[in-house]
Amino acid sequence: MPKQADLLQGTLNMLILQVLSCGKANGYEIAKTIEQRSEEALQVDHGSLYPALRRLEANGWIKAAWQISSTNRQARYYALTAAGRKQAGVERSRWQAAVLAVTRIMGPA
Amino acid sequence: MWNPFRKDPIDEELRFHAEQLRQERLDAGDTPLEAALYARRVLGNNLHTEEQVREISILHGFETILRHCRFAMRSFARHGGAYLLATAILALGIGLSVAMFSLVQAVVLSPLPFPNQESIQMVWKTDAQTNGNLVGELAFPELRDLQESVRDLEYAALIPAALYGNGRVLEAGTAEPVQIESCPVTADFFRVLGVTPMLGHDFETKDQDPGSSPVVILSHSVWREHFASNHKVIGQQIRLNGVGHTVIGVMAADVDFPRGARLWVPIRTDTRRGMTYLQAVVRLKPGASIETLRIAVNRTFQLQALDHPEEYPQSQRAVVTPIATYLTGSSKAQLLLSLAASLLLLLSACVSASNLFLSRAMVRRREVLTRTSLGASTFQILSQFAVEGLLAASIATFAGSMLAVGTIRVLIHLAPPDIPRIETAWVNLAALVFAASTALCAAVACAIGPALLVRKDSLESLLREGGMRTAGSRTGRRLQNLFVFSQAALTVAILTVGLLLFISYRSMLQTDIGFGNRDTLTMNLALRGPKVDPAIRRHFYKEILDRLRAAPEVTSAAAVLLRPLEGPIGWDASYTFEFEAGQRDPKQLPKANFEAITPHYFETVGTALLEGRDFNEYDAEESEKVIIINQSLANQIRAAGYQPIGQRLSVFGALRKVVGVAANARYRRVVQPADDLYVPYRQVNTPTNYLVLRGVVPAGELLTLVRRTLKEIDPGQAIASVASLDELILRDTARNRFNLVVMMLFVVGAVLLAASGIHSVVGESVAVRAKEMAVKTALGAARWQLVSEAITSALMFVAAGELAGVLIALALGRATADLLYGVSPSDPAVLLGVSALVFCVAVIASFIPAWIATGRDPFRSLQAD
Repeated sequence: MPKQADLLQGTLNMLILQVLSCGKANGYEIAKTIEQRSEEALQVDHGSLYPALRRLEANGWIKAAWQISSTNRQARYYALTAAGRKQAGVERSRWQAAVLAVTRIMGPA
Repeated sequence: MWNPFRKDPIDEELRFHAEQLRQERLDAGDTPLEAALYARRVLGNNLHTEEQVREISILHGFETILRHCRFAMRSFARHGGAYLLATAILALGIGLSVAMFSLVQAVVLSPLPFPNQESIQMVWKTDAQTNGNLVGELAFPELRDLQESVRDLEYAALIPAALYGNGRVLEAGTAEPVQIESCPVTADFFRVLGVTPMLGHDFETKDQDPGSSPVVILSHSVWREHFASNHKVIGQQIRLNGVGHTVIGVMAADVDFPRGARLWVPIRTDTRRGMTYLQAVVRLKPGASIETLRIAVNRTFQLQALDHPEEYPQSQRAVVTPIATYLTGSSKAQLLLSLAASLLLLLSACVSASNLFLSRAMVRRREVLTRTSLGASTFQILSQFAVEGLLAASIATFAGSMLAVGTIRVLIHLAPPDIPRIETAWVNLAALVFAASTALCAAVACAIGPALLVRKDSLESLLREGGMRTAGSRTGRRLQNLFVFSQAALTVAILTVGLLLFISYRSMLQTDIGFGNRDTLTMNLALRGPKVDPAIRRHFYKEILDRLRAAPEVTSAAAVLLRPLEGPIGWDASYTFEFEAGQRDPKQLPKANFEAITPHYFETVGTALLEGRDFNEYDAEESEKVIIINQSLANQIRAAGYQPIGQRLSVFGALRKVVGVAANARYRRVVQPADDLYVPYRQVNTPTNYLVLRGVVPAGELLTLVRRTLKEIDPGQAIASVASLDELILRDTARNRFNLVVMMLFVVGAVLLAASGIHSVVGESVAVRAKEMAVKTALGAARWQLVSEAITSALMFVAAGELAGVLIALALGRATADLLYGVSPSDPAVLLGVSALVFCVAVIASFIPAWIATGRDPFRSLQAD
């Protein structure tokens, strides 16, 4: 099992946008998706997910609506807005640029 | 959409999340306790999370509002002139409309203090064949006619058609006797109104009996001023016209009907059908309609003509008027006209302000583009514009309310005294609600322009235009052209009505009303009590006039039955010329204004004697009956082929010889010409009630002299309503003057608004075309050519709008034709003049920004942006 890494400061927003660009999800699903896709390397503090979601919502990047979940219960589902989709792209390229720069400094692993 | 005011659903979300986590562990085979602990560990402290989330919501809410406001202030600062102008324009529109609404509210909409006032109706007669539009009065026996044959009446009563001549001299203790406006009424009068005395009891039918002891009901103001609000006044004896009356009641302060009445006394039963000086006031039974009342009263009047053919003509008809209309009369039409004008002005203000906002929005499209590309949603941009509009509207509402307060005070001050209840006007709650909704409309109007633009101008077209100051979007230009069009129309309409009222007022003042000596002092000196006897009265008047004429300060003095311009109702007398004897139906004789006068009356008031002589002391009771007629009657005699002088007229049952022809004079209203008959005071029974005199000293000293002289002759008599002829003329035209002032306010507002609106449209269109014009200038285009190019399209819409405005003005003018005098509502000179004026204003307003823009250095324009 790979070593667990703390979530990098400020990357949570980007990760949420990335997860949501594959389709809408509720808070639990977002946390689980991040954990599963990073093969449990990234541990999300589930509690801190919600302030982040509110911030994204306030920026107009995501919108929320109540729906029936797969477990047949009322859950709040988040989805990207048009602005959010654009923002996800912006963040992805910014991240890639940053990774590239850091990799150049650190040298190939 | 994110909403800062909705309750955040975070606790439900967290509960669901925990549930999912727990389920996950339970499925993996953990015990419920282990699963719960896991969920707790992963999710962390719920309270802490909730708190964080709420903080973000609140902070974000404040931040959004703050940001919008800060942004609005910044763009106010940047585009300050335009926003300031837009706000000022809105304030002007709101202020004037709220002021007018408050006045209309006070005068027209406020209910009278009478329950079910809509069932109270005034009834009198009209007869197209004899007295035209004059009021046809009723006599006492007709009350029974109405009560017996009209079934829909709950109560009916009679009151005089006019209050003057009904004043009573009150002698209270040692104070000087005072004359108090009084109203004789029949017993059911207060039951018709639906009010009861606050002290004592109402009139009863037996109070009408000629033999019963006199009683009186006091108004609240008389009770307060002359009886110190003493509750023991009920049952007391007071002296009115020298006769003891028992006080049986006191009415509440809000009972003021007929307007100005301060005492009510019973009318004594009188069987004479010829004594017509009354009108009926009736209360309908619940559910009865005014239409059925009119039909029933008409039938009653027709039956009268059948039963008493010697008294009533077949052509008499009923006039039924709701009490509210009767009280507010034509002031209702005038106020509603002002309200319509103020709504037009408000509309115009909104159009102007929206136009300015729209212009700014067009300039700011690049900003919109930048913010959109940075991720701002349409909603965010729309709410930004809405906040800007709302901010402007709130400031405008505040400033407008201040303006309204000031305007109302000024208008109350200027208002003529006969507009009822106007003094109660204030920016009341209804007016405030009206102001708030006005502001909201204005905010919507301000937001609509930019909002439409942002919606229509999709991102693509913005990108295509590159966000540069290009020639502006089609939608925006079309909207602006519509604004220019409607503003020109509204301005022409308001200006036309204003000009018509102005011309009416001027021709009113210029009318020769036949009274040359406007400094003549007039006053009511109606003799009361035992002095009503003709011989005593004549002696009294001769004595006081002789004494006054003997005083060195007095140049001339006389007495008359009813002074000029006392009101639209006066004494009418039927007449026939001797040469047409027997040719006319005696029930349908023409009527003329009738005056009993003393010698020297004409020289005192300044009415010219065109032919013959004035009356003199030899025109006494036993001498030949004589009469003086006015010029229009003399012309009628001449038209029949006779000489006026020496011709004889049958008036009040006697043949009277014409000894003089006086110039036409207007006794009822400045705008109402009539025929006049003058008879020497010693040859008729009608009294002389008014003193007229001129002197070489100020009016105050003349009045003191009259008071002193009066005291020497009879200390029990009182003088009332002192006024110079000039004041009487001003009083009669006061409503027109008031209308004029109100309309002038609107006219100035409308022209300012139109000028600023057109100025901003043209200013904007030259601003977006700055580069194009710079290129043209660089290529050698003449400046005047560029200017005319820039303003032609706006001026074309102005011209089209003016045509529409002329149509509105024609419709408005027709609706207000009865307020006009000496001018036709479709006067081509007025319409042309107004259109030309508005066009000139438009040319100047559009020329200025165009001239400035074309004068700019083309190179600097090209480098800008």
